[in-house]
Amino acid sequence: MKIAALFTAVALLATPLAAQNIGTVASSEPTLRGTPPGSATRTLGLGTGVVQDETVASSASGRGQILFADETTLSLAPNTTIVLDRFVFNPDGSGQMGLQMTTGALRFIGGTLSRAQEATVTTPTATIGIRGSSALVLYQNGGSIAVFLAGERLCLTSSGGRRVCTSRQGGVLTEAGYQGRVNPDFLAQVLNLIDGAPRGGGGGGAGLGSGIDNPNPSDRGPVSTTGEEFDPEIFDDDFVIDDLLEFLPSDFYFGEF
Amino acid sequence: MFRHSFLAAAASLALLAPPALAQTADAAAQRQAVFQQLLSDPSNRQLMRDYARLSVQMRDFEAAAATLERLLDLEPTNVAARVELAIAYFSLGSYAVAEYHLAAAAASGTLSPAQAAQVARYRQEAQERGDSSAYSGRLEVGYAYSSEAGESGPFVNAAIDWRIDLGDANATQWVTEAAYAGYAPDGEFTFNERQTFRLRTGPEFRLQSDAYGPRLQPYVELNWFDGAEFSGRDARAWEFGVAYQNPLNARVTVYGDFSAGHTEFLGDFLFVRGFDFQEVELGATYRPSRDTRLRATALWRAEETEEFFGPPVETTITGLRLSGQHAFEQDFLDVPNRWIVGAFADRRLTAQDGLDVTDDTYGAWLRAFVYEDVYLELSAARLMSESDFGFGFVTERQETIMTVQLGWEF
Repeated sequence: MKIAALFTAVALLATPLAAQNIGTVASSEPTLRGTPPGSATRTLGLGTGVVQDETVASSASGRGQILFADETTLSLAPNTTIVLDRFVFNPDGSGQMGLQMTTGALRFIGGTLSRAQEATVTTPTATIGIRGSSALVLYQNGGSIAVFLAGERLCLTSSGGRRVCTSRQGGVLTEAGYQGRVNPDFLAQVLNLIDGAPRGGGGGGAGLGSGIDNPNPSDRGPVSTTGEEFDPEIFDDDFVIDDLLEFLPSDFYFGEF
Repeated sequence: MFRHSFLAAAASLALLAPPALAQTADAAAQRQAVFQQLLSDPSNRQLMRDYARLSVQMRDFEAAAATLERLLDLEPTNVAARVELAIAYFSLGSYAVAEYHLAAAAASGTLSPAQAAQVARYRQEAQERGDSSAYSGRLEVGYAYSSEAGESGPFVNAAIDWRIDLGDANATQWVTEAAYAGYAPDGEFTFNERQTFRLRTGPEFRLQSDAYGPRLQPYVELNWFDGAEFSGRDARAWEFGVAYQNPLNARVTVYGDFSAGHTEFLGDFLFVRGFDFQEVELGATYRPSRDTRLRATALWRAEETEEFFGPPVETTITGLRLSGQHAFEQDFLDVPNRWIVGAFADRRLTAQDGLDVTDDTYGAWLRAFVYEDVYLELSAARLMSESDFGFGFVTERQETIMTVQLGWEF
């Protein structure tokens, strides 16, 4: 019995533990390349798992999306290299997420982890903190640019330690500070880089049927990534009731007793 | 009798909340199960559809956007999916990205007439919401009838909300709200004719630099009240205040309004010159679903009169208001815009120099859109007032008010 247990233990030690997948490649055009720690570079096709500390790179004509276990989606532009250097996702939803981007551009659409605390994207010149949010991050010409798309807040800390934040949808941050609202032409350029230029023709195709396809824009304001929203009429109940009471005859209080 | 009526009205309001909590928990469990399958089969269209649909149901438009981004990567010519993606970003307030996708959809040349109209509406709305100066409002004309008094007449209500973006990193806005209400009862002797105008203005700050964190608006408010020419009830009022609201999560928002000011009567023959007041309102909104909201608001108000003769009179008003509303799905009724039904119950206790007055008001309304931005609204309210003068001398009054109005939202 003891000998059998000993053999089992030796066998376990002799077999290297397979690294746990932290996400999966959800689209790849034409391919992404991945280099797990201590392993050779491999092709990351659709459905391939990615692991902690893996370096993922797109070629000059490649792009792709990675879906993480916490529901975060990363979209990589051509000529982008990232290292998935921190991903802890506990069963209770806690954990942390961080990656390095040495070159290129990406879109980060947050999942569970970035809602509780900042997920970080570290470039050679800055650390971008994304909380409850979606953002575009670029590193080009030796500088970092972050565009806040939606959610709670986006912050950028330069390597010199200066930290700036924005909660404005479309707000742009660089190492030089807050730059105002994103220019539509610049935004289109970045989205074309990450997703490719929009294509027409092809018959249009059927929608996904997500249920979001309301024919009229909602008269409600925007919603946070966790469903929070402001109610512009929150103080209006008074007036609804007062409007009605305006029609009370004056003798209601002062007339017959 | 009053207490029972108030409780019955409050119970009716509670019935407005559908059993949405259980549905949401089910949706979360289902979504998690679908997501686990999606991780191993990320291009499965049926799984993507289920995941996005459940995400929209749970108000997680970010997850829906991420899924639609992936679908578009796999089906780059799918314009219908691009429109859905644009609406997901629109729902998140990312109007620049929404406009990018809407413009791409419009330029594709493959939209049906209905889709083209839809895209045009969203583009216009995204443009307006992205403007640094934006306004919205409503104009209503209607007819009111009070049953016990037998009085009736036409009225006009108007309100406008104007927001100016101050351009900083946290999108601080200067918010100005103005409202007008005028009523002219039929008949030659129109003692109850009245007009009120209210103007409130001030900056709205994001306290923690979070887009959905607490917001605070210090404000100045001015009020005008003009009654019939011979009523002597004209008044002007000013106040300073601070309004606060904080969405704690997707369901609960807390809010408060703290103000102090003065009302001055303009009539010559009144014994009261005016009064100072302080008011506190504290409340919470609960949303069991995005279409349904319930509110509870507690009120405390103190007034002290300035008399021409004699000492000041102090009045204290405490109150509790419960209100709720539900917006029906547009598809459910096949109408040009969502119909909204609402109800409220309000109790106010007024204590003044040995006089205790209890006012119970409850009512309901229906806003039925006949065009996209034009609606017919019906409302009815019942007010019961009980005045206790002490020594067992108690009087009661009741009144029912009904209105019908045509409104335009802009």
